[in-house]
Amino acid sequence: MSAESALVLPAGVTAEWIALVPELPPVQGYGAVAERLLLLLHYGIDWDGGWVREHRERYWDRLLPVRVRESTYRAATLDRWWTLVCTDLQAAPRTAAERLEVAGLLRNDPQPVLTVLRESTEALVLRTRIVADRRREIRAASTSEGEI
Amino acid sequence: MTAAVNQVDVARAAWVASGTPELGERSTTDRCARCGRGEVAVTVRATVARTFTDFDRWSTPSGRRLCSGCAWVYRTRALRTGIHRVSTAPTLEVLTPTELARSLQSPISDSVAIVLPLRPGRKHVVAQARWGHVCIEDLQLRWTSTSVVRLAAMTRLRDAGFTVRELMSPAPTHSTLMTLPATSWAAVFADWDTLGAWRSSPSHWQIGIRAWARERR
Repeated sequence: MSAESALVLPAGVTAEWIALVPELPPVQGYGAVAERLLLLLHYGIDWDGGWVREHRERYWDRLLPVRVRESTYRAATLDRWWTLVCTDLQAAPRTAAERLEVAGLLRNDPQPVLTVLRESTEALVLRTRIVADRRREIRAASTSEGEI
Repeated sequence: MTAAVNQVDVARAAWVASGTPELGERSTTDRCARCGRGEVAVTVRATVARTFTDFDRWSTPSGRRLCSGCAWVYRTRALRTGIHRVSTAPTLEVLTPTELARSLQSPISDSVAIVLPLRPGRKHVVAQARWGHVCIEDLQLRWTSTSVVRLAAMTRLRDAGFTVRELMSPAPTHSTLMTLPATSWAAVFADWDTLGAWRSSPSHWQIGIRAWARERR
């Protein structure tokens, strides 16, 4: 499909994060763009100073999916969507590599990405959570293991 | 039985399988309002409630009398409350939920009908039943190989520990998913997607929920 061949999926850090969970079946097409954007959004959240910190218990089940979905109704472009969610959740990519990857992902055709963000929100948030769980487990294992 | 199988509807077959109980003195002076056979035994008034409205499927909606076979289907309360399997043999069996699950593990052939009242006692279901279908209140659904695949997905997910309520979500519940080995996640996601069509079809969903063998492992 010609639209799919224009898919922009820059090589970036998210691929490494996702690779930490080989049991997660890969998503294709615009779902992959959405998945990476969500990961970058999640890891950009200011957990120390932001308001989201006060709502941790509801973050995965309510906060994140609702904000992600609602902002798709208010955005016609990916740039606009990204701005809305980042402002809302007080998120910003932390490193140059993350910023570069976001910039690349936002160049995709907005319609299909926004559609998948809207229609598969819970599934995408679940994937983000699984990756986050795995990264946390690995970090915890490496800090407990043989710190000299 | 010399009557052509195709002309024996599910209701008639159920009546014959039950020993053709006669509900009144048989008379040939009139035709049955429901099936049109030239034999009547009881009045419509004495058989269905005043609130009954399903006359439009009858052969003569304005008719006053019914044959024993048709009247029996309306008068027999057990037919409205239990799960039944009717065949053209003819046979009539009551099914447990486990037996229902087993019956729905393959497509339903044209010589079988499954009658499944979702709200026992409220409506007549056998009277509208059709061969080759799963029959619930007001609706008869073909049970195809696609249905079989979807039911299998639902069964696997329930066996894995997901509740019916969780299954209605667009994605698996994180907490339940974490109780399962990571190597099974791909299969869980695939089964979850397979159930997608049923999430927007309450009838199929309800049938799927009822058709679960409750054996605990």
